Amino acid sequence: MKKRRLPPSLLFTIFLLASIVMLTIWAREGTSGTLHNVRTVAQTVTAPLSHIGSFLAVPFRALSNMGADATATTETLTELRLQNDELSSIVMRLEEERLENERLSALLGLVDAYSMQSTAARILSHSSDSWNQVITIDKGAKDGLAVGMPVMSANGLLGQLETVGTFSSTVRLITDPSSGVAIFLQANRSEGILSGSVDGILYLNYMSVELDIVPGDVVITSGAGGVYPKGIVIGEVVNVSKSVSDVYLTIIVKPVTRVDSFEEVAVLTGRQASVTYKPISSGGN
Amino acid sequence: MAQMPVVRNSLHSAHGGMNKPGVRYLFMALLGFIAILAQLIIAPNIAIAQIVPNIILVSVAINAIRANNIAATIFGFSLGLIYDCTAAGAFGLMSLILTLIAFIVSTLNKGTFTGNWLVALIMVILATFFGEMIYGVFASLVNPDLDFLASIVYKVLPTTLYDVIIGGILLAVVNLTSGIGGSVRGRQNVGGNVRGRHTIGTISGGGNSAGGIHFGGDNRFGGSRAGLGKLGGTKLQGGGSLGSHASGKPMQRKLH
Repeated sequence: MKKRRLPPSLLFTIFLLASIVMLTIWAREGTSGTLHNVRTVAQTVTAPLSHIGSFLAVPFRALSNMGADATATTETLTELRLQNDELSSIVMRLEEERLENERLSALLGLVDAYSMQSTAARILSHSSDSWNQVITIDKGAKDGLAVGMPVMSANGLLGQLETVGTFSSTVRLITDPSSGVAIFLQANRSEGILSGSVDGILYLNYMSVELDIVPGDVVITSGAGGVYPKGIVIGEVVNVSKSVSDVYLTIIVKPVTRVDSFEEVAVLTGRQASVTYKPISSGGN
Repeated sequence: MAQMPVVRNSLHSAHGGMNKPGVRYLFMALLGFIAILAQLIIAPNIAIAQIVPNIILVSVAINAIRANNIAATIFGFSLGLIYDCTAAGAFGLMSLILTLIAFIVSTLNKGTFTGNWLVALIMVILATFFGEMIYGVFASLVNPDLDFLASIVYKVLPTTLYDVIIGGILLAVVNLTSGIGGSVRGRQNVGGNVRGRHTIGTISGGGNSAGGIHFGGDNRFGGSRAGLGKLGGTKLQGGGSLGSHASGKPMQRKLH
């Protein structure tokens, strides 16, 4: 007697429906739920593989760095020296301004509302597909991390924790098409939303054509929405354009942070919840 | 009725049970395991300008070319599910895409696979392109701000190109190890062994490349229901099929 086999088309339909059901559940879950937990567990289990990949990639990364360094021209070196001199003078000036800021804050009795605690982490791997711009770091729930915490590099904002496993976490970068950051321009305090894109470029949205925005304007987080603390540098404007019928400007922002240029990050794990203000004592203004 | 001659696949005789279902499924599981490891460990480190090859998609397409519907569909869904568990996109999307690709490719190749490397590569190209397109369409539906044309130019096409390069390499490896290269080598292969050569001298009526490593529960590479074996670019004279018949059981021919 012949064995009854499942028709291929029926099996295909079952799998197709199962996939659609999972997609629907995922969409309705939001940021937590059964499928999110499944993914968290899976990422915890596969975290050692990311470690292996990171370890195996070290010699190749070193080789590519060597190649880049070996091919650096005299012109590049000269440019770097000039840049270094300029930055050194800026640092000295900023240090002076920082000290002045501290004195003035103490005088006014202001308390820093954004005292930020952070945890250092190492990048284990980059995205395993072309569509999502994420990185995996080697810290997780056991290190006090939680979903939604901002992640920074030495230069500026990187992204936000999306999934947190026990030993590793996934960071969705601000250059990802689904990312958005509330920002304002340092020059004129105009507010907008910074979004990622498929080509990896940051676009500054909802900036009216009437605003005076020029290349070089620094973009920093506004703190709106409570996701990212206020005052974190993201990048600078490199291109401003508009057409006749546009209501908003088309602005391209160059991030200060390139994810492939470093191996360590800092996760902001906590900050003060409220601002305390003391009035100036009598006799002062 | 004259007795049909028997073809012995040297791979069968050398290894005894290569064509047993258990061994075939084990090989498929091994292929899937390697594909997952490669995607998690190797793929992120060989990305070029944020374009990461989809090794799992390529593996599913190649497996679907060679396997039957059921095995290919199960393979595609399983790998897609594992990919969804470990990747960053929407959960269920890759299992949907890989199930579709596996079923369609295996259906198109059902009983008509010629062992032609070029045809297989074209299948891989089309499979990877449509797989990435489906992902792009879904991403555009979920995120209205996403520029669909930009996603085609910056993601779909470059990723497809990278996948095709990986697929070409994998196909070459598979060809070398499975002896389906009858038409690639321009010779008639009967049975085939790991070196892709004859294991039997000449058999009147041509031959086929029904041997090598098979995926799936039944051997359908040997011929069509019409009874004409057309593998390896050769045509049987006098009808009949080598390697399989309509009932799906392997046929055997004796040496002359």
